[in-house]
Amino acid sequence: MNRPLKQAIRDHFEQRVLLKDRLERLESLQTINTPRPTGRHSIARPLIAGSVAAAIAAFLVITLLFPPGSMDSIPMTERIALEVARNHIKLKPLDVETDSMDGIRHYFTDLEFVPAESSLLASADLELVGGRYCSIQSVPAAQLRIKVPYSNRLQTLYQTEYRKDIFGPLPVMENGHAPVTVNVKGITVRIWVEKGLLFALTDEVGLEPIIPPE
Amino acid sequence: MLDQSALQRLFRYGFSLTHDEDTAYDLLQDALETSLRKAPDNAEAAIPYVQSIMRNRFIDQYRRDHRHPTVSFEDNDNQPVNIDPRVLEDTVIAEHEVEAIMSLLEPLERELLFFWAVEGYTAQEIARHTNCPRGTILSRIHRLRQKILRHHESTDDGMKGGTAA
Repeated sequence: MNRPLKQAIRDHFEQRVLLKDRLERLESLQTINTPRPTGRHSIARPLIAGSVAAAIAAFLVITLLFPPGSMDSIPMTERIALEVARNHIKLKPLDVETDSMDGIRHYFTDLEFVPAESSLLASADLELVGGRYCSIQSVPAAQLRIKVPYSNRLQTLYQTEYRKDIFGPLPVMENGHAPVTVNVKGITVRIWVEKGLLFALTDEVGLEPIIPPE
Repeated sequence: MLDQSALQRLFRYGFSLTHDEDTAYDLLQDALETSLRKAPDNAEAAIPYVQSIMRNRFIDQYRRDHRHPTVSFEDNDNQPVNIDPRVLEDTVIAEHEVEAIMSLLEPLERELLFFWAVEGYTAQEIARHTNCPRGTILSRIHRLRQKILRHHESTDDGMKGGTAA
């Protein structure tokens, strides 16, 4: 059957629909990314209160209409590791190429935290290659690419502000905890909190680890 | 904040560039991660802003993935052409041809079709949204139509139509 090209093309695109989980993820990304108020006498406070009430109502409706799926039953560390591994495998183009943390800090000015160095990596002799904006569990993050000199392999180090309300309890360096290690998609992901930031580092299973085991 | 309808619209735009749903989602997510703090509050203004980021990121990625690209993203086809931009309006295709045609088109040709068929833009509006001279858009429309015609001739099936009066 013949039809006008315009209608056929329109139908072709309208058949493409973001699935519910992806749609929710993008909405959540925007919600978390909305700048938080800082003024003590913000005139927006009543509006924010209304927005919070609306968000809670929307959450309740969504929860009642769409019971939690399989992802909700996965521990948070595994969810983080899955997301980190998936993005690491893609090795997307960098937003900025720099070999210094100063260069990183200079570039990532739209985050609600300042990228920092981890004491855990201080003795690892890693080369910084650059970074790009990304997110973990919808929290804006910096994705730093690093090179391991002795093997020339590229790894990914994520940093984001540690939101306990979102990420739950995680090992904190300052408290003497060791990183939690999750193996996923053939990649080892180590996750820890330090200097108020969440760090997640990829590594290759079966090779000499970047962070020596304790 | 972009609502669900705006997100679906942007996702379809991403699909026009990538021709792959997973990659379109990644492209949209990337653009949102990069742009949210700078994007206009007004959704109607935010959509073209996010689209421009998606477009730039897609082109960057394409260039990195294809060391010897066969697709040109340059405005080097801005020769004067005498084309009626309405030629596509009268084009008719067979239902089953759509997928095959979309598969053989280049990203910017699919983008052009998206803007024309889904967003309802004129050639002038497409030129403004893609930051290209109108002559470039008209050239692309011409080549697009030729490509669709050639596809029809090769399959010897289903397409009719001509230039608008």
